[in-house]
Amino acid sequence: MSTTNQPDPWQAPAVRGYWLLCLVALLAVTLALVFRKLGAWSLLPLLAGGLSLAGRWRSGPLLTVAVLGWILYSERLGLSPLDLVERVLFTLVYLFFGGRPRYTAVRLSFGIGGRFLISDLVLCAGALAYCAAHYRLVGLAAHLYPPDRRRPPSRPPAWVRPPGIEPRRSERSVEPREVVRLAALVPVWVAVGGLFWWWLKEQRAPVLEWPSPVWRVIYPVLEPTGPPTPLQLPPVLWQVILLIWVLGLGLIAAGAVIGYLGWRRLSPTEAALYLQDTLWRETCREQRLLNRWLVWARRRRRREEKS
Amino acid sequence: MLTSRGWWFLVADLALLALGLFGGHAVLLLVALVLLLWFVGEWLLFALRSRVMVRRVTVRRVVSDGRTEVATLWAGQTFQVHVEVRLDGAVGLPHAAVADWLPFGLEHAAGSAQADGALRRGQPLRLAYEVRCPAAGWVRFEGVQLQLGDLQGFFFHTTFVADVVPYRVLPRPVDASGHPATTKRHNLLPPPGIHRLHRPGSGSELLDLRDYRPGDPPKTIAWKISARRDRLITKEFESEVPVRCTLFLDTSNSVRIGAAGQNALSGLVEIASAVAQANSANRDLTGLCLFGEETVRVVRPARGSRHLAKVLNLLVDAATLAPTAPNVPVEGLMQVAHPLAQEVYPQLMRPEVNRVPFWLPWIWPLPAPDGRPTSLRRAIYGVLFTFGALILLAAWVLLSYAIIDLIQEQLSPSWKTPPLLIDLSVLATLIAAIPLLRVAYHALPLLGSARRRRLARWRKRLAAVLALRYRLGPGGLAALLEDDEQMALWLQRFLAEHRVPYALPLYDASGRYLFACPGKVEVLARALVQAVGKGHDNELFVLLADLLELPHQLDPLLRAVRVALARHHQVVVVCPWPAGLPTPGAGLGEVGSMAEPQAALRRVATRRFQEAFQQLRRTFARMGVPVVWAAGGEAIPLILERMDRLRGLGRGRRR
Repeated sequence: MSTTNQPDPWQAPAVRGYWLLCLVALLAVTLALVFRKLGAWSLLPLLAGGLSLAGRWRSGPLLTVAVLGWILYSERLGLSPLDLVERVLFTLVYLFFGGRPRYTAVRLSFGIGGRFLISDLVLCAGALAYCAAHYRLVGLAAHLYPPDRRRPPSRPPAWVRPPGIEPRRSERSVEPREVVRLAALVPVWVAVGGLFWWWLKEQRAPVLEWPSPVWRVIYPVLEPTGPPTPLQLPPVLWQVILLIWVLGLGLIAAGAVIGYLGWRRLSPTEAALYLQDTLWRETCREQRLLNRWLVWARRRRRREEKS
Repeated sequence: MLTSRGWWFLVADLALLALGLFGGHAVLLLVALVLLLWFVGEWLLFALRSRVMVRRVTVRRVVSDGRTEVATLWAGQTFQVHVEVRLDGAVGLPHAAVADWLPFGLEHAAGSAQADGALRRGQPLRLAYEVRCPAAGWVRFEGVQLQLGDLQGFFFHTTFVADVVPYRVLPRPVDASGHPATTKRHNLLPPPGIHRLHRPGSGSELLDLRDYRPGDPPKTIAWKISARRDRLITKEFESEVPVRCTLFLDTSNSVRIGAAGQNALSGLVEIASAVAQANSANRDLTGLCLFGEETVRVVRPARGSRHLAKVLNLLVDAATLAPTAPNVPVEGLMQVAHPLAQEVYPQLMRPEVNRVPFWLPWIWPLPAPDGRPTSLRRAIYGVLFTFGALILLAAWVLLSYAIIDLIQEQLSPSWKTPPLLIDLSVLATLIAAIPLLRVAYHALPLLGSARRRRLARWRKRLAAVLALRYRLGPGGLAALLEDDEQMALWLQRFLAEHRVPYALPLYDASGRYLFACPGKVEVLARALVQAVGKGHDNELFVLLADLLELPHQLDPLLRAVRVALARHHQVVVVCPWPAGLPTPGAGLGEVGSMAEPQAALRRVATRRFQEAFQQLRRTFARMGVPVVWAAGGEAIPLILERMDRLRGLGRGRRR
C-alpha cells in the first residue's frame, strides 16, 4: 500500500484546534517568563515547545517542562541557565571522579517560600494547556493506546485473525468542543493547584499535647499531663509529609470507593468465579492430594487393562 | 492501565515537585502541583469509567443480506453486519475504540470492523462491514472488543463486551443438476412422480395403451379408443415408486482434522448437501446417516422442504464438529486457548477474581509428574539432585552433631546428653528436611524456565474458567489442574465451541496414526445393513467415508455392501482426499529434491495415499462399486448419474 495516499494526520483539520492551543499556551508561558524578567531565556520554552511540535516529538511536553524547570530553578539560584548547566556538570564530575567541588550546584533552601504573581498562574495554565494539547496531538498522530507488541505469526495460518484495534485515534473522533472544554478546564485546575499550594504553604508542624483535643472531647475528665510540646520539624518536612498523606490518603480512599463500586457491579459469572477461587485457595491442598490419587489410580487401571 | 507515556509524565512531574519543594521555588512547586493534581484527577476519572461505567456498555448486532435481517447465512454469499455499541450511563467515555470480534469461519469482505470516538448516552458507536461465508458450518459472533483511554494517552483499559450470537451457515444452494444455483427459477419444479420408474403401476400419468385383459379394472378402459378400434383397450399408468438415496456421512475424528471449512468433513458435507438439494429439486427422497466411531444418527429418506431443511441443518452441525483426542499435550492447546480467553473473557481472567498464587508453579508442579514417562534429561537431573541432596544431608548430620556438642560444652559441660536422644533429634531434622527437598526438587528446574512457570499460571486461570463455564462443581478446578486428560478434553471443547481451530498431534509416541478410527467400519456396516433392511426398492447408498487408512479392516463393510448389491441396490463410495496432496493419477506432484526432508516426506505420503486409494478402488471394483475421491469434482455427477439410472431404466432424466 502506498503511503502517499494516506493523509498526514498532523495536517488534518481536526487537529488544528490543538495546534492553536499549543501555540497559545507556549506564548502564555513565554509572556509569564518575560514578566519574571528572565530576558532572552524566556524564549527557551517556546523554542523547545515549537521544535517539539514541528518535529512531532512524542516527548515534547517532557522536554518543555524540563526546560521550564531548568530556567526557573536557575532563576531561584540567581544564575543564568548556562551557569546552572556548568555547575551541574562540574558537580557530576566531582561526584564521579572525587575531589572537592568549588561550589555546590544544589543550594537547598527547604520550604515553600516566596510568593507568586498572577503571571505565574498564567505560566501554570500555559504549561498545563501545552502538555494536555500536545499529548492529544500525539494521540491523533502517533498512537493513543500502546501498540500491540505481540509478534505476528511467521507463516500466516488458516485461522489468522484480522488486525485488532488501531492504536491511533482517528481524526473523525475529534469533537469541536474538546478544545474548548480543555481550555475551560485549565483555569479550574490552576485554581485548585493554587489553593492547594496556599493551604500547604500555611502548614507548620503541630504542637503535641496529651491528652489530644479529640480525647478531651470524648473524655472531658482527662486532665493535661504536662505543657504542650512543639514538634521540632522543619516546615518543609512537615509539608512534604502532609502532601504525601493528603495525596496518598485521597488516592486510597478514592480507589477504595471506585473498587467497591466495581465489586458491586460484578456480573454473576465473575462473582461465581471469585467464590470458586476462594474455595480452591482454602482447600487446594486436600483437593490436590485427592485428584493426584485419582489420576494415578486411573492410569494404573489403564495399564493393567492393557497388560 | 498506566501507559509508558503516563509513567514518564508522572516521574517527570514528581521530579519537578521535588525540585520545587526542596529548592524552595514557589512557582516551580505551583507548576508541579497543578500538573500533578490534573494527572491525579484524570486518573480517578478514568478509574471510575473503566471500573464502573464500562459495565453499562451494550451491543446490538444485525446481520442482513442487503435487504432484511437474516437468521441463517449461506455459504459463498456476502452479508452485511451492523453493530451498535451503546452506553447507558451518566458519565460518558471520552474515547473508546471498538472492534468487532470477527468469528472464525468468516472472511472480512469490505468495510471497517472497528470504530472509535466518544461514547455517551444517546451517542452510540456504529460499525458496518461485510463478511463472506466460505464454507458451511456454524459461526459465532462473540462480542465487541472495547478499548478505553483518556485523550492524553496516559491510561488505557481493554475489555470485551460479550454478545454471543451463533449463526448457521447453510451449504451453497445447487439446482437439480448439482450446479450452483445462480437465479431462482419459478414454476420449473417437476410435479411429484415425474421421475418415477417407467414401468406400469398405479400412478396418474399415462404410460401406454394395450389390449384389455380379463381382470383389468373397468375404470382403466379407454372407451373412446376402444370404440375407435372396435376392441377393448386398457390404459397403463406409470409407477410412482420414488427413487431413494441414502447418504452415509463419516463424522469420525479422521475427517475432522484441520480447520473447519477446510477439512475433509467440509468437503463431504458439501457433496452431501449438493446431492440432497439436487434430489429435492427432482422430488426424490433423500436419507441421511451420520456415523462416527460409536454413534449413528439416521434420518429416514423423505422429501419436502422441511425434510431438506432438516438434512441441511444436520449437515451443518456435522460440518463444525472438531476433532477430539484425550491423550494430547495440554501445552499446545493452552497456547491457543489462553489468548482466546484473554481476548474474549478478560473479565474472568482478571487477578481480582482469578488469582494465581505466586507459590503455585514453585511448590506444586502442574500437573503431578507421577505416571508420566521420564525423559533422559529428567533422569539425569534426578540422579544429580539425589547425589547433591545426599551430600547436603550428610553435611547437615555432621554439622548437627558439631552444633550439639558445642552447645553442650557451652551450657553444661558436666551433663552429657544421651546419645540416643541426639540421634533421634538429628533423625527428626532429616525427616523434616524431606518435604523441603521435595519442593526444591520441583522448584530448581523452574528457576531457569520462565516458560513452565508461565504455563502453570495459564493453566490455573484456564482451569478456573473451564470449571465455571462447564459447571464442573466445586472440585472441578483442582481436578483440571491435576488431570491432563480431562484438561485436554475440556480445552478442546472450549476451543470447538468458539470455532477456533487447533492442531492435534497425528501420531503417537510409537508412530501410530491416532485418527484412523477403525471402529467406524463396523458402525457403518451395521447402519448399511439396517438401511438395506428397511429399503423399499432399488436405492442408492452413497458412502461418504474416509477409508484410506483402513485397507485391511474393511471386511464388515464389504459384507454389508454385498448384502446391498444382492438386494439390487446401488452403492457408491466417496473418499475424501488429503488437502494439498496430488490427486490419484496426477503423479507425485512437484519433483523436489529427496534430500530435503519435507519434500521426501511429502512424496512418501503422496505415494502411500495413492496406493491406498488404488487398493480401495480395486477392492470395491470387484463388486462393481465405484470409488471416487471427494476433491475431484466427479463425485456429484457420478451420484446424480446413478440416480438417473435408477429412475428411468436407462431413459435418462426428463428435463
